[in-house]
Amino acid sequence: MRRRFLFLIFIVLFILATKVADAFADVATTAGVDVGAEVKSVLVTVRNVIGDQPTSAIGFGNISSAATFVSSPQYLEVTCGSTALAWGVQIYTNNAGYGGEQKGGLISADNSSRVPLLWRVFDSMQNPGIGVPCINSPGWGFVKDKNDADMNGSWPGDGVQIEYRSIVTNNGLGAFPSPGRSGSSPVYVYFGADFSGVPSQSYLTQIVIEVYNL
Amino acid sequence: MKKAFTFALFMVLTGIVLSSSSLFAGIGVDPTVTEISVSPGGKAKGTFTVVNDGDESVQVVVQPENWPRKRGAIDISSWLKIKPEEFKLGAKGVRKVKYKVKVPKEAQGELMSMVFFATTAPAGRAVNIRTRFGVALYVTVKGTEVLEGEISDFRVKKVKSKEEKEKLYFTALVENRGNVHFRPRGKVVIEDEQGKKLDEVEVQYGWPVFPKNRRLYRANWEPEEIVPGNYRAIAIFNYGDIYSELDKQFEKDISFEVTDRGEIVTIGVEKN
Repeated sequence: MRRRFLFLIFIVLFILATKVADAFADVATTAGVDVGAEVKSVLVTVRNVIGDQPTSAIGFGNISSAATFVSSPQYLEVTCGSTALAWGVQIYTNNAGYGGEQKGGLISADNSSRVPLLWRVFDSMQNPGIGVPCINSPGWGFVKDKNDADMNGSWPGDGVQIEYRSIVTNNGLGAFPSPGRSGSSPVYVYFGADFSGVPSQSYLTQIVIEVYNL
Repeated sequence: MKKAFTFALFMVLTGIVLSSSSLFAGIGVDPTVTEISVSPGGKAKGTFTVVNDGDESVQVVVQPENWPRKRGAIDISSWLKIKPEEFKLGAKGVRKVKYKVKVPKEAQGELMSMVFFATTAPAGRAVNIRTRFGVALYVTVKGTEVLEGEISDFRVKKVKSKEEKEKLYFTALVENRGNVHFRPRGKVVIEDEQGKKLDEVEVQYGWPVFPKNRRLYRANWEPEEIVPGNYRAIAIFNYGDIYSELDKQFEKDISFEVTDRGEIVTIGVEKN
């Protein structure tokens, strides 16, 4: 009886193993049209505005409760590219836990408050030691969030405006501080944030730098 | 107390880090775009090559997504399997990732996924940075394709280049009324009022128009001088080359006048 049971187990395991091995073997390969050829990658480096040295994270430090717009003392150097006919890089946050309607930006540790995060992109480093001062929002793009209701239906390929998250495409630089600029990799992304009226807390987020090829 | 409150500092993105790395990811994938044709109920397979250009090993997660991100698309998990779904890739490492497509029998038009290769966000940072590298996978459902489109709007305006030189800026709004994507290959032909061809300018090729969607294509005409007079411009696009239907073409024309004052008046179109 025990021998029969073990034999049955063996048969079942053998069938399962065969299935797994065949998972990618039971289909014919269909010739694809590989529009891209050379492998390109995305590299993101965080740098200090002062001294231009690589550093570990973007931050705003300790902010006075009276503060409104504040510039980040760090910026991103984004090196990217593609051999695809159409490609781009976008930026957004992923704050799924925040309950507000607009979720883009920095979120308080208790998920109750949001600090709008702003960006500008250039194809060269700006003002060594000074960066790009952020004193108000005109000319800055508000960082959108993946979980914003108005993100769906307006992704690249839909043919509608995506200027709030597109930092560079094979057609040129993103729309902030000004649209219609040519430019190529690497690109430099500077940040500001509007701390008006937010309570004293730690604010956190996850920034996503996303390359897409079409 | 009030003073203490006024000068109270609150921690905002301290930038305190537990990791010393300043470089995020370095992930690249080939091919960047794959366009295949498979019959309903049919299967196909292939591989992606993933490279890590960085100097540190990274944890990679494969995340296929519907693209464009719209509701109503066939669930990707019903037609696309990818293995492995997560793996560690050493510095300067290369890894093959296999995919298998099984087209549902009821599928029509095309299936499309942007397959993202994401690096997992390092823990312990005030601001985590995650990178994602997306490659496009288009699967045309053979025998069900509807390739149909038109130029729904064609406009011209005068703009100045960076060098302050005047040029005519044409925009053509291309609409995809079919059920598969296409990449319009187009040009704008400029004629004088006698119908004599003055010039033609290419429209940048490459950006696709997704089914039931629209995209704006642009072209610039920068002659030595824009002479006052009447003109006709014709936008002509071929859009069947992906599907070897080279005769697929649409066009639209506009007539316009460049006045003595250098203004553009589009004939038959009210000025905005």
